[in-house]
Amino acid sequence: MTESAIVEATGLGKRYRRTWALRDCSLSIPTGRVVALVGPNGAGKTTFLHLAVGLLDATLGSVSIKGATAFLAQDKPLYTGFTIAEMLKFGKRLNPGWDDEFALKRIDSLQLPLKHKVGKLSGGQRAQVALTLALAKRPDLLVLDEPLANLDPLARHEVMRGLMEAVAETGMTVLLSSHVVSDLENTCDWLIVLNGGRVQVSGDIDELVAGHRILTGPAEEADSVSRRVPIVEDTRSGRQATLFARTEPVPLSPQWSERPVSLEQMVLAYLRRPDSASLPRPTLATA
Amino acid sequence: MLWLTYRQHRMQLLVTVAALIVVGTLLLVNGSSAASSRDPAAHFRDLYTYLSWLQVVPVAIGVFWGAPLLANEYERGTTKLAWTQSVSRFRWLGTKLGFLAVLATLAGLAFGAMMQRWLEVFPTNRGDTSFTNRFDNPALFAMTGVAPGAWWLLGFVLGTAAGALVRKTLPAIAVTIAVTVGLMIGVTNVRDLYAEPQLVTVGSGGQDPGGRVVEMVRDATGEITALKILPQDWYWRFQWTEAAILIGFAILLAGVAAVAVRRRS
Amino acid sequence: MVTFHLDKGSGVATYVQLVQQVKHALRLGLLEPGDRLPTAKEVVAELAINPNTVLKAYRELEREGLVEGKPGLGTFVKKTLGGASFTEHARLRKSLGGWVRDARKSGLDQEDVEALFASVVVDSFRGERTA
Repeated sequence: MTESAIVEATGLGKRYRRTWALRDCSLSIPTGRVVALVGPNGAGKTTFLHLAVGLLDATLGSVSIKGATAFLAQDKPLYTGFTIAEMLKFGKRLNPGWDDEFALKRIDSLQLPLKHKVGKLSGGQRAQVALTLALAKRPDLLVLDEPLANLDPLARHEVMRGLMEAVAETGMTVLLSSHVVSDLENTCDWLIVLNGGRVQVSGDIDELVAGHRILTGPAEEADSVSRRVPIVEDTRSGRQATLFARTEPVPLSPQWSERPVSLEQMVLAYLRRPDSASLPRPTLATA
Repeated sequence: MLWLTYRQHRMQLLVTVAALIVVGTLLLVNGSSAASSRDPAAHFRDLYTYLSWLQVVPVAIGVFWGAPLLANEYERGTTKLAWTQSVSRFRWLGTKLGFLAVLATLAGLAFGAMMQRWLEVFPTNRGDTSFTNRFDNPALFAMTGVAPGAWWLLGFVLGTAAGALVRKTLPAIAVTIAVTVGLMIGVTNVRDLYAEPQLVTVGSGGQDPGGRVVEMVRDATGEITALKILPQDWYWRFQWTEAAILIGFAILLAGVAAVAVRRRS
Repeated sequence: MVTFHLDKGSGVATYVQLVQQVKHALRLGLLEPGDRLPTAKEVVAELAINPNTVLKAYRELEREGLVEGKPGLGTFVKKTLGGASFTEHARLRKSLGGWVRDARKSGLDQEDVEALFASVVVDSFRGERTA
C-alpha cells in the first residue's frame, strides 16, 4: 500500500540558547493515520508539534504540512471569560472553513449549555469544547499536544471517543502526543518515539508490534542469538537471558522461548535504550 | 477579528466611556455654575484639584488597555489558540492594535475637547487665574487640544509593546507605569524647546506679545535687557509638535510589538 | 447484530480480537448470512478505538470470504463458519476431558496442564500462523 505523506520533516532541529530541544528529525506521516508521538517528558514532543503547526520557527531543517491544520495545545487554552457560544463565534469568525452546524450539534450532544462560561467548565468539558473548536474547522490534519493529560479516566475515554468518531466520519489525519502509552493502544495506528530530541522509532504500530519478540533462554547462548537478530535490549540475570529482539519469528533451540510484545513493552524497551532505533530506513540495526 | 477585539476588551472600553461621561458631566455642571458666578476662580479650584489627576490617564490606558493585550494572552497560553486559526499573526495584531489605538486616540481627543470647552468659561492671564491658562499650565497643556489624543495613544501602544516584550501581565504593567511616567516628566521638561523663543527687548517701547517667559537676558551690570518668551498664540504649534513626537514614538513602539509577536521562539 | 468488546490485557491485537469475535458469533450462529456488521462509526462510538482498526478487521474478514462490503450500505455477512459442528464440539470436548483427567492422575496441577496444552497448540499451529 502506498500512502502519501501529510507531514514531512527533514533534518528538523530546534535549539533554545545552548540546548537542542529537537535535532536531526526526519520523518513523514502518512495521510489518514492516527499517529502517536510518544516519548518521556522533555523529549521534544511539544517542540516538534509547535514547529509543525507554525508556532515556532526551526533552527535547522524544515517541516511541511499538506492541507488545513487544526491544533489543540496541551493546556487547552480558551478565553475563560467567553461563553461556549462566543467561543464558537470566535472559531467561525477566524476560520473560513468553519462548520457551524457540526459545532452546534457536537456541543448539544455533549449536553453543554451554550450560555455557560468557559471558565466554569470542568477539565473534561473544557477539553471537549476545545476539541469541538478544532474539529469544526474541518481540518485535514488535527494536531493535539497531550490531549488526555490532566483528565479523569471517564473524560479521557470520552475525549478519545469523540476524536475517533471524527476520524471515522472525516478520515482526517490525527497527530497526537502522549507520555502515557496505554492511552494510545487501540486508538493510534502509527507510532513515533521521540527520545532526547531524536526520532527513535517510526512506523505502523501493528507491524512494529508483530516485528518484535521477547526471547528468553540460557545466558551462554545469548551472544550467538544476538549475532543473528537485532537486539533492542539485553537483560541477563544469572543463567537466564531476556532479549528484546526486533525480528520475525526465528528458529531457536528448544531451550529458548519466545513471547509476543505489547505496544507498551516495546516503547519502554526503546526508551530505555536511546541508542537503538527502528526507522523505515535501512542500516540502522543496533550493535 | 473586530468582533473578537471588541469582545476581549469591551470591559476596558465600557469603563472608559463611562468615565468620560462622568468627567464630562462634572465639567458641564462646574462650568455652567462658574459662568454665572462672580468668582469663577473658586469654581475652577474646586474641580481642578481633582482634575489635575487626569494627567495620568495615559498611564491607566497603558495599564488596562495596553499591557494585558498581549501579556495576558501569552500568560494564559491563548496565543497558541489565536495563532493557530486561519488568521495570520500580523492581521491579528494589526486589527487589535489598530482598532484599539483608534479608539484610545478618539477617547483622548474627546477628553481634550471637553476640557477645552470647560476652560473657555474661565478668564485667562488675569492675576491669580493665570493658572487656568492652557499654554502656561503644563498639566492643562497635556489635557487640552490634540495632546491628550496623542498621549492616550502612546500610553496604549507602550503598554502593548511592554506586554509583547515581557510576556507577563504584572511586570508589563510595572514597565508601562515606569516608562510612561518617565516619558511624561521628560516631555514636560523639553516642551519649551519645541521652538526658538522670541526675544523681546525690555523698555524699548516694543509691545508685549503676551506669553511665557523662558529666559531673562541681563547685561554686565545684571540689569534685565530682554526676555525670551513663547507667545500665547504658539499654543497650537506646540500642540501639534507634541502630538507628532508622541505619534512617532507610538509608531516605533507598534513596530517593536510587531517584531516581538513575529518572533517564533 | 454483533456487539464487540475489548480485552485490553490479552496482548492480542485489537483488530484480531474483532475478527475473532465475528468468527465466534458466526460459529455460534449469532450472525447469519445477510446480517449487517456495525459500521466503523458505530464500533468507534462504542469502544473508542481507531476506525482504521475496525476497517482492517473487516478487510481481513472480507479477505477470508466471510463478509462483503457493499459501498454505501455497509458490510454484510456472506457465509457462516462451519468449522466443527455442535456434535463435533461435544465429541472433542469429551475426549479432551479424558485427557485432562489422565494428566491429573499423572500428578500435573492446573498450571502444568494449561502450560502443556498451550505449548502443544502453539507447536501444531506454528507453521500456519506465520503464513
